[in-house]
Amino acid sequence: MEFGHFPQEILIEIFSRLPLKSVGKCRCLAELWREQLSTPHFIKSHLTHQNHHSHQVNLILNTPYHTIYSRSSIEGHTVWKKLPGLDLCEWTDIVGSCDGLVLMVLEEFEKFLVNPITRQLVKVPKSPLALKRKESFSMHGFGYDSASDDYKVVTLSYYDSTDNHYADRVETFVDVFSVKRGVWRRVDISPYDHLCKGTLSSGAFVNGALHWLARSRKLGSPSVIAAFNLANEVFDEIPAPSDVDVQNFVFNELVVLGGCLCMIVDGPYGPMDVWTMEEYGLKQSWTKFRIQVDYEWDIFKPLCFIGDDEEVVLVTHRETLVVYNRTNRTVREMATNIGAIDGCSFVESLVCPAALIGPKSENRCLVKVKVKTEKIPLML
Amino acid sequence: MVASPTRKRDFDEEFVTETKMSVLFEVVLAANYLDIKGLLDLVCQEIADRMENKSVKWVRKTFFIENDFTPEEEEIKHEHAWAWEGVESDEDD
Repeated sequence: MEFGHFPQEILIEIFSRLPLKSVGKCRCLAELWREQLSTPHFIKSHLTHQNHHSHQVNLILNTPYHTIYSRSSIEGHTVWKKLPGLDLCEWTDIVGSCDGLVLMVLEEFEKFLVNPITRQLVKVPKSPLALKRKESFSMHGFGYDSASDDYKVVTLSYYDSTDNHYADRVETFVDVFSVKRGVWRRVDISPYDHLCKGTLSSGAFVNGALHWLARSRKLGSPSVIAAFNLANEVFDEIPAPSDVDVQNFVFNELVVLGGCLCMIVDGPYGPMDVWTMEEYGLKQSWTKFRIQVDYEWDIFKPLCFIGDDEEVVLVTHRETLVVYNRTNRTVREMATNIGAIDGCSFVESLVCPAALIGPKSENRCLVKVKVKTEKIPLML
Repeated sequence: MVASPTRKRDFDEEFVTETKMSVLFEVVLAANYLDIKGLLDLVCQEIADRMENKSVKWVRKTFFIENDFTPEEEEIKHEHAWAWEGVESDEDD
């Protein structure tokens, strides 16, 4: 039997095991392969396989020069690449990533979904519900809802209240953008007080929900970990570690490391504690490790684990990238010629942002990015 | 007498690496038809390993794939220029 006539399930089994770039080349073999290796079914199968077997870690950074760099495989060879196609500025926010797509919000609140490996990007339509920029604040989150097989962008926004007396009564609107349908909807008012935090944070996506730290409106206004479930689009609460201050843990930060929800407790002159929820939803499963570095390093936030979780990549307040070794408790610098203000890790995937955005979206803007080709070997 | 896991692994390793591609094709089809998951995984992985980082020319030759692209082909190669970035030059065996 000709290879091209193999049962589809076998072809998917084989090609799902290939690294991304090999798949990209195979799409150039013949028309049949361009088709077969671009179906949503294959893309999903490839992603699932990569998630289970690949140990590669990739990073996307907002650097002090406001260019985005993407690196594949932090261990071993370094390949930092400037990502063309976006005019970045100081206020660019890298919200988060899911399945190889990264959501970025630019100064004018323009949102883009990017696949940093394939360089495809697409603009997320402006929300007709968005509050006026100068009068409000917004926080965002990005994740995947398996129930509806849809990627969603969630925006929490509230009017800028200069009247502190009523600050805790200000409502936070919850808007959800369904990538598949291409529409924004206001789903609710948040039951929590998000203003208390004072800083804007991106939602941490874990286990089908986006997480933010907030205050409950119950008596005593305790801090909560608010989890916005992408399937039923309602908030729930996740238990925090027993050893953190219930009144004040709202001022900490949430990140995702190694696929787990983590709470960063940053002592002002002391070490940084990273609480990891090893088993989602289970209070007893919170475990802590300490990042013990000299104050001079001025660490800001962890981005990802590397080297079998032995090392942690961190961004510092000095706009540099460092790596902390948990075993030796040593620190070394990374990407010294680039620097970093912020960033997030992402997996390699073939997911094409433009193909996902639904038909109803207005202001669709597909930006086809042509990579500067100095030398591409044409293997004919 | 049942072979130890190590011996089984060694046998598998030797079997796949020393088998011709055409025979691997036969085995993978048979394993799929007979629903032998372990064998299917083993052979699919070997085929994938052999394809990895090979040139488009090599893959076409080995898998008997005819290039049926029209002048559009330049377009698809540009769209997938990222696949050639930062990768060591391919072997062309």
